[in-house]
Amino acid sequence: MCLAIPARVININKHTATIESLGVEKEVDITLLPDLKKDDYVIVHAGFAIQIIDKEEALATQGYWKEWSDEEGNQ
Amino acid sequence: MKKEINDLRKSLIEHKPSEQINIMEVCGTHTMAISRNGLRQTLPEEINLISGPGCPVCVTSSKDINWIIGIIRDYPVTLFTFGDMIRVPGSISSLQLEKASGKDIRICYSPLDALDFAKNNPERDVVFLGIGFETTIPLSSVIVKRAYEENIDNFYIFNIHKLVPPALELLLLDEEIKIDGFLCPGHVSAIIGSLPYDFIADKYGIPCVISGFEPLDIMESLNMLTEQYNSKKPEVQIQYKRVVTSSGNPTAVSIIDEIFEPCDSYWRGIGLLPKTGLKLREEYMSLDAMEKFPVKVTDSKEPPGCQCGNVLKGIIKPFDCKLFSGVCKPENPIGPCMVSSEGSCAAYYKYERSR
Repeated sequence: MCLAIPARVININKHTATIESLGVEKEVDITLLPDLKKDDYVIVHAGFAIQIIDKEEALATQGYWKEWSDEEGNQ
Repeated sequence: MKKEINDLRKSLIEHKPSEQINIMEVCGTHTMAISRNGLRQTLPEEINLISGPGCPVCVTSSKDINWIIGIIRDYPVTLFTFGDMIRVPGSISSLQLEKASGKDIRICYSPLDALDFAKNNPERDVVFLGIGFETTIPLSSVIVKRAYEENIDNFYIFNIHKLVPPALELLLLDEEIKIDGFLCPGHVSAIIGSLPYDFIADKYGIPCVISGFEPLDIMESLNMLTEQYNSKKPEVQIQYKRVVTSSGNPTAVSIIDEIFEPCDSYWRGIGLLPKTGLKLREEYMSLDAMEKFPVKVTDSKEPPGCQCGNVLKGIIKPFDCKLFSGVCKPENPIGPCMVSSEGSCAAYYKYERSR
């Protein structure tokens, strides 16, 4: 249940941001991260960005997610 | 990546403790990662991984499930729930069976879906089933605050959130369980930071490492825990530094505190644990589904033979339960640890039966 996915912020609106993860764009709530900026990497849990993460680390984790989704057929 | 994992494995074997130690992975997502990647089988036998109570669905009491089922049977409400909850049996039914019998139960990805539905359907009473640990609690807090401030008077929360650090303390006080180290949850800690675990090292002398979820993260965390154990210098270390800081997400922590206050909470198979739950603060009580939709709820017994309580406390492993993989399987689960995809029994069944 505490699964969270890394994503890049591509656009910020008032309470929401457009994020991109593995080529998929999505709108998430950013109420919990008032200092969020464009191009930050975040982890997303159930429609909310919950924490900002280090960019290099985010990319490494995305690699892992891609590997996992390929393997499980969950694309 | 494989080489790095192998190096960490070699280092763990080289520095293994002289006696067997029990390391509890608290979080269900860690249990899944350990099982899926076969990590348990690569460890020296001195390092015994035990699974803890960190699957929110598994620790939800059957009384609470009976309660929400009572509400949807007695009142014409629309219930929004995360998918994990739908199959978990109470003692009278499950949300899935209720949905099949025509009740308006909808699976949501985000609590925002429930609030949006309430806004768009003002004639319909909407209940969001708020379940989960500190990772999820800020999300519920945001929607409760928003519903309150925007006067959305048809939105309610059935709140059964639970807290991780106080529950860990109660496990340490249980004489049946011997824990020598905690692999602490990564995303709960993204919210609360590392400071709330300090008492575990300071007061109880138990090592803690907050870990990420990749195999590499977990192997590195196990090395850190073993090193702490061997050097007899317990502390709280953060392995998952790319996400977790000592103070966590202060905005999230502060909104939780604004909306909720601690209360006692019943954990399935474990019992009533003081100050491990949350209730809405007085100001927000008008959004409490339990107050708005009173029902008569009877307490319930666990299914005969089910040992989920002992599994959740790490006293036994799923393999040790007589029902495991015989009577109790994911297709026909008896206890909650087999129902939830992140339950220990489901993880061991899916990935470790043949190992």
